[in-house]
Amino acid sequence: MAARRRPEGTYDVAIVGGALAGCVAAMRFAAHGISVALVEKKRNEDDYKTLCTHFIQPIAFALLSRLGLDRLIEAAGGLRTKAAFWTECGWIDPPGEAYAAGECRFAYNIERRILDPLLRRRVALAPGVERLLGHRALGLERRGGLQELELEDADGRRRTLRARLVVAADGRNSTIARILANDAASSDNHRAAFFAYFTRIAPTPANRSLFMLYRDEMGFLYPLCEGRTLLSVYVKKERALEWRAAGDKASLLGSFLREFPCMPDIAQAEPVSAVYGYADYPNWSRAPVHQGVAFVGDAALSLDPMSGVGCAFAAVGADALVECTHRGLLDDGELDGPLEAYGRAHKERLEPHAEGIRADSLIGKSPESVRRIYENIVSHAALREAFIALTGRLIAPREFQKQYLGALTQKARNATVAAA
Amino acid sequence: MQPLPPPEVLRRRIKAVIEEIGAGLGLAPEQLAGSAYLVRDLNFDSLSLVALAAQLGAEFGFEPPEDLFEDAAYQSVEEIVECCARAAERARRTRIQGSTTEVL
Repeated sequence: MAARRRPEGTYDVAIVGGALAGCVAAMRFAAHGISVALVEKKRNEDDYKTLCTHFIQPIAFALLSRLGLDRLIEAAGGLRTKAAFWTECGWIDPPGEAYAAGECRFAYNIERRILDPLLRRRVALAPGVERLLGHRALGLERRGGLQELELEDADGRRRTLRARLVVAADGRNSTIARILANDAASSDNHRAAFFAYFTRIAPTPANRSLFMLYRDEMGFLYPLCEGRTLLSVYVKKERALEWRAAGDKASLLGSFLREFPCMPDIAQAEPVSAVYGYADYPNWSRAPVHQGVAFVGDAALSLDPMSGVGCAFAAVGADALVECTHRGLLDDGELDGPLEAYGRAHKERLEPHAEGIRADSLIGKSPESVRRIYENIVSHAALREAFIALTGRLIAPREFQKQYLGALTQKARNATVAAA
Repeated sequence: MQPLPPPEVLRRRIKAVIEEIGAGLGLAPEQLAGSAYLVRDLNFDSLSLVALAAQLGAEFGFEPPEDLFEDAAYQSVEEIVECCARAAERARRTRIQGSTTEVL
C-alpha cells in the first residue's frame, strides 16, 4: 500500500532504533499505508546485536509468518527449533517438531549477525519507509500536534523530523527514555552469564534447543546454522567472579556444561568466538507510553537473557503498537486513546510473563519445591506440553498454574476413589 | 455437577486436595496457611491462597469465600477446609432453591 504524502521532513511515524522491534513496527505501519522515518544510530546496515540468545520464541511465529519473515529467516539459514528441558527429575520434551499438536508453531534459532541485516534490507523495500542510517537522537519536543525529533548524523549535521507519533525502539539504554526521563524500574537478577560460539558439536535431534536446569544454575545449547552452536551458562555470581579471573574461559564453560548428565558430547567442540558475558544484568521495565511517545522492544522491557524472550517480545510488542494506533494515524484522529490501548495491551500480553521471568532470575528457592514441581511435570504428559507452551510464551503463567493445580486435584481425586 | 457427599466425606476430600497440592509444591501442611501467598517466586508464578481457593471452588462447586483473599485469614489447613466446606454446602443449598423456584 502506498503511504500518504506529507510535507518534506514530516512523517506519520518516526521510529528511533532500527533493530528487530523498530523494523517490525516499520513494516507493520507501512503495510497500512502509514509513512515512517526509521532512524538508526548505526551507519552500517550489517551491524547487529551481540548480547542475544538468537532464539525467537514461538509466540512470535504467527506474526513472522504474516510478515513473510518466516520464509526469509529459513532461507537465510535460521533453524526451526523447539525447547527441551532437562531437570534432575528427568526430561520435559514432548514429542513432535511443532510446539502444540494441531498447530504449526515453531521457535527459530537465527543469529543476529544474519537476522538484523536481513530485517534492515527487508524494511528498505517497504513502501513509505525512509531509513536514516547513522543518525542519533539529540532531543524530542512536542509542538502542536507533532513531535519534533532532533537528529545528528555522523558528520555532525543536524536536522529535525516531525511526526505525529514517535516510537522509541532504541534498546535497553534508550536515548529517548533518557531525554524524556522515562526511568526503568529495576529488579534483581541473581545470575551472571557466559556464552560462546562453537563448531564441531553434533546436531541435536530435530534441532532441539536444550535447556538444562540444575538447582540454581543452568546450561543452554542452541543449534545454529553453518554448523555453529551457541553454548551459554547462567551461574551464581560467586562462580562468575572466579571465572572472570581465569584465563581459558572457553574450557571452563565446557567443563561446567559437561557436568550435566544429559549434555551431548562436546569433546570435539572448537570455540569460534571469544567468551562473552555479564556479571550484572537486572531486569528493567519502562512505561510503554510516556509523554505521548511509545516504547517498544528492550526500550520498554529488557529481561534476563536467560529467558530468551527478547526477540519475540520485541516483535509482539511492536505488533501490538501498530494494531492499537494505525487507525488513529490513518484517520488523523487523536492518539492518546490508542496509545493508552497500546499500554494496556503491552501490559496484558507481556507483563504476566515478565513477572514469572523476574521470579526466575532469583536464586535460593526451596529445592524441595522446585524438585516436586519438576517431578510432577516430568511425570504428566499434559503438564509437559503445558510447560513447553509456557516457556514458549504461548500460555500465560496463570494458565500453567491452573493446569498444574488441576493435575494435582485430579491426583487427589484418583487417590480418594482408589481408597474407597 | 455431582451431588455433594455427606459433610464428613466432603471435608475429607477437600483436605485431601489441599494436601495433594501442598505436596506437589513441596510444602508441609503447616506451610499451607497463614499467608496470602503460599509460595512466592516459583519459576512460573507465585502461588496465592486465591489460586488455591479458586481450584477448590472449581472442584467442589462453590465461589471462593472473599475472606480467603485476606492475608493470613486462616491459620491452619483445618480452618481452610472448614471454610471451603461451608461455602460448598451454601452453594448447594442455593442451587437447590434456585431449581425449585424454576420448577414452581
